[in-house]
Amino acid sequence: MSRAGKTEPWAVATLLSMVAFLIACAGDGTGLDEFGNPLSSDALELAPTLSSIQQNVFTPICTQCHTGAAAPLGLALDGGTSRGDLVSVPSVERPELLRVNPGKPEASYLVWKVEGRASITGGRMPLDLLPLSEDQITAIRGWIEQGAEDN
Amino acid sequence: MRRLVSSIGAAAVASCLLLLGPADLSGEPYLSVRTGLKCSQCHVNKTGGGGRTDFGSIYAQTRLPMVQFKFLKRSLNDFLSIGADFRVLASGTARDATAAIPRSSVEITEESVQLEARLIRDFLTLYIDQLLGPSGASTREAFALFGNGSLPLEGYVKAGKFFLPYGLRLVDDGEFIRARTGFNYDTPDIGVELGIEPGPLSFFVSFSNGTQGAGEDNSDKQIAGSAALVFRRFRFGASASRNDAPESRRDVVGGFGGFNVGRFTFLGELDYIFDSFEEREDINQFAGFLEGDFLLTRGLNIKTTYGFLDPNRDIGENARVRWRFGAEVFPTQFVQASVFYTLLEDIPQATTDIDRWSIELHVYF
Repeated sequence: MSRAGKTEPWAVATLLSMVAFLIACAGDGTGLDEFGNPLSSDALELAPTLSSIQQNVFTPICTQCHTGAAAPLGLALDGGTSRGDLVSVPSVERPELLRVNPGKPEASYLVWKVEGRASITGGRMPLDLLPLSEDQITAIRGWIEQGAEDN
Repeated sequence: MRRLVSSIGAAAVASCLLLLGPADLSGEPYLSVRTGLKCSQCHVNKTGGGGRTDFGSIYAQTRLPMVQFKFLKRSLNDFLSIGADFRVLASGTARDATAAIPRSSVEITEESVQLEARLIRDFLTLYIDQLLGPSGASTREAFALFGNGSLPLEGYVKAGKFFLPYGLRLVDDGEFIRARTGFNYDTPDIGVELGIEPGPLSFFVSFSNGTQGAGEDNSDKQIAGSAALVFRRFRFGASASRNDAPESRRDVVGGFGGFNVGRFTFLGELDYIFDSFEEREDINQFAGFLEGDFLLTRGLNIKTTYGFLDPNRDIGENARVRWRFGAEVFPTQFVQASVFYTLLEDIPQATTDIDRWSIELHVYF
């Protein structure tokens, strides 16, 4: 701190006034669903199918980070790519486990991560968000148990 | 209209920051701005974060804390140095739109050790930053550093696994500019980085897999770079990245800056994120960040941060805002404690609209 000079109150007050005047607020959510996407009339009920999980979990929640070319750990959960990045693909964090082991939810690292098991590496998914609901996790487990088909 | 005004406002604030002064890219960027030092002055990784240099260790032990005990050298001998970071976090929900009962937890969030081997003095350094926990071991950074400033223009070459050079290296990975751009402590990548640091300039460019640490078997790669001018009272710079993947591409561009006025330190960053896909619509995001720090007394810093996110520029009224208010104290060397309140403002129907309190103990060496 000895290198710091004398505070210029006018400069600080001016800057703070500018910041207070210019900073933006959150959106009012008009016409959007709970995830901030436009309301859709073709919404799917949550079910143990890829299309339902994609629409209700992967796209609205997971792709906030796991999207496109810069998807963390090479796992993009966008529609059209999610199954290819999940099914029978070794986990980066725990290479001895598959991200999704068809027919075996207990041996699928995706399930471990969303359930927040003690033996995972890194944080519980979705990171810094509310954990998935019991129904959402049940749907994922059911999809895997039924073979993780492209349905 | 409101979104347009918001964007213009945020852009104007950032422009003011860039014009008035600076910002940076290190473990605690405000310290870098406050001192007028480059990241490489205090960190082995020249773009900031992770293990500290001898200078960084001396600074952390002698200039940061309220009370100083016996100085401890991090160098075991002429060629070997060690370091460590340990964090315990107590946090809880102060307001949760979806849960009637507040939740809280105490957890270890980081156990890491760093090893720096100066194999050929001022020319070849081997550096490893290994996460030991909290759940499983993993290598966060591991690279060979050639040159270490001894090449022309204070240049160096780095090869291995490292944090890519982009923007402010905030410790808080949850901040929109770090979470949404994908440049944070969770996403080191494997590749090569070149850098020069003559005079006030810091320029870094990296070529990497673009898979954030995962292996790959294609020819698509990521290039990321950052340039900054660092002066005693201010700094400013810009970053850019292009990441090609088989079915998509991400471009990120941004500017950052920071400046110091007496006991006040300000910094900020703006980023545009462009995701393009072969089989679906493109998504463009905008994220902004402002931080103000006030050094109340030696070892006690008051901090306020503001984050803004438009997660899809083509959708209106979906913006999110994140505020953090708190204080950081360095009671003695090796110890940092912080108390923060994080306020999220989301759209009214969101289930992610949660406010949190947190108390963190960080022991470092």
